[in-house]
Amino acid sequence: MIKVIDLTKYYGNFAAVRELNFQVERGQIYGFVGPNGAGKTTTLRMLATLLAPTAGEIIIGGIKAQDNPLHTRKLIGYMPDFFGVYNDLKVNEYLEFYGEASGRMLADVRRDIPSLLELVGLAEKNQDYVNNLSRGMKQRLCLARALIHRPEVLLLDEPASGLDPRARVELRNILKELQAMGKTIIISSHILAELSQICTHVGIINNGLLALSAPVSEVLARVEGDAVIIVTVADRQEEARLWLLEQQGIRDVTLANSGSLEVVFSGDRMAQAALLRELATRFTLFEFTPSKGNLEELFMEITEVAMDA
Amino acid sequence: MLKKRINPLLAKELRTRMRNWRTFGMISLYLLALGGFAVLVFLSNFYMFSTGYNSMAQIGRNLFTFLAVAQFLIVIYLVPALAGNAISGEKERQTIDLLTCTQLTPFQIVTGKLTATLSTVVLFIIASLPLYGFVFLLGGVSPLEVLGLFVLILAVALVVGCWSLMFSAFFRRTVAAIIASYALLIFMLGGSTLLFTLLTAITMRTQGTAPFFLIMVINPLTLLGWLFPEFFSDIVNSINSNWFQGGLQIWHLALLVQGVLAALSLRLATRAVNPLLKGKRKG
Repeated sequence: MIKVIDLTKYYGNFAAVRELNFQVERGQIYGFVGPNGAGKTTTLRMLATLLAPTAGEIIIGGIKAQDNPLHTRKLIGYMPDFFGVYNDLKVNEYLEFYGEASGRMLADVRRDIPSLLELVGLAEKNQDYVNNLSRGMKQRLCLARALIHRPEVLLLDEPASGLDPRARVELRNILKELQAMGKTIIISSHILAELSQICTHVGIINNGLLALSAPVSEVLARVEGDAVIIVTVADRQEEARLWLLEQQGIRDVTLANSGSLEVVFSGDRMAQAALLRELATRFTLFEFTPSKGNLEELFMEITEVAMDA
Repeated sequence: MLKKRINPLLAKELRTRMRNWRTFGMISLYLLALGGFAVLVFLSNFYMFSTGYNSMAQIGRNLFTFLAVAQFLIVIYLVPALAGNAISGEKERQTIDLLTCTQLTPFQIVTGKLTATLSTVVLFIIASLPLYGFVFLLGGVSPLEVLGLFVLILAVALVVGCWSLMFSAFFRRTVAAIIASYALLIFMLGGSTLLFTLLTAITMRTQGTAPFFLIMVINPLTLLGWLFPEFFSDIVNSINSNWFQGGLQIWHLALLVQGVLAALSLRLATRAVNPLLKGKRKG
């Protein structure tokens, strides 16, 4: 669906993006992760036909984006990291405008708006002025705007930035729904752990270079080893701690001030699942959360290697 | 399919412009100012009528001339304020990317904004119609002349609107775009007149036929020569009568020059709005 070949962008002498190569198949969610200033937004803007590459090619749906930007824009829905809204418009008018501007007939757009607002959880805000929406709602409205012309590809530049935890979870659920609808999604973030929960593939970019591009399962396999698991039981914490220490693969268990147990565990995900099963039969389990600390370590490791290179 | 419908940007602009009190406030102020001064002009002329120096038709003609020049100048000074934030406002609001990402071409974006500006000018013209109704009561003016004036005002609004849009597309800040638009407007209106007057005065004795009057082709006021030849073309022609033969008037040249300027501004604005042409490097 999306093929990026040797994509390069220079601003003067500064190389924002250098010879990027990756491919995203239909229905995949590709997480584009990297520290601030790594080149994520530049890449997404080039994919969205908002920035001309210095060199390289972008092919979306078999079309070379640079040669046919208008046709490419039909295929993509773009949500920038920073965006504004027309405060004087109502929610439905806002979507009608972008729907029409995207080449659709007004009657068709009006037919689609209720289901779209339902999808992003703004159904009851249909007649509200955009000005009266909260930041999270505006973020969701912008996502609805990106979907108004039924694009096959979604380009989301840090869509979760500035959102509270609840809004992040809601956004994650919306993205999963969109994937189920067959949309191809590229989503950028500077938090690898956040992306690993929703993406099928991930690309790590640093200093304009793609340091890694692989399925999430492969990336997770690389970090399997010692993991910290947060375990919260209803009662008998000390008993649980002693029991855990006797189990295979457990290196250490400490009781945190919050009452949770921090378990240092060495084993793959199947072993984690077996431990969870056993634990649940013996104790009233409130929480069993493998910490994403190692993913972050991997991210640091990869980006440091790329910086050295 | 998109081309057969009203530009959605125009529809959106009209909706948002009519939704706030700014437009209505501006129209009210405009009518108050225009109407107030028209009453003063009428009263001063009517005094002359009562003393036998003027006919009713002459009062009507004088009032029409006043309204024409006043409305012309008001609209000319209003357009940069209306068009100055057209594109830069989208940049400031961070909506320009979302707009250029649609199926609207840069030309459609620019013309949508321009048409919205001209629509407001049309609204101003329509709002002033009752004042011209009063002029008709007095006589001395034909409906065709009034229609001609409206066409002229629209044409000048188009020219000024085009270069205001160009500055709006060039600058990131609305204030900068509006200042640049007014600077150019002041140069074209006042600067060209001053330059023409000074150069003519300096060289009149030695070079009586020097074509300095051509400077005036960039002055939008020169276009009024179409409706009021007695004030514009004749003055210039009396100085340089050998330059205009076969019915050619200076406002013809002004129309051509300003038309080219508008087209060029529109082209540059379209280029500036196209994201793929910005910062394009060779190799």
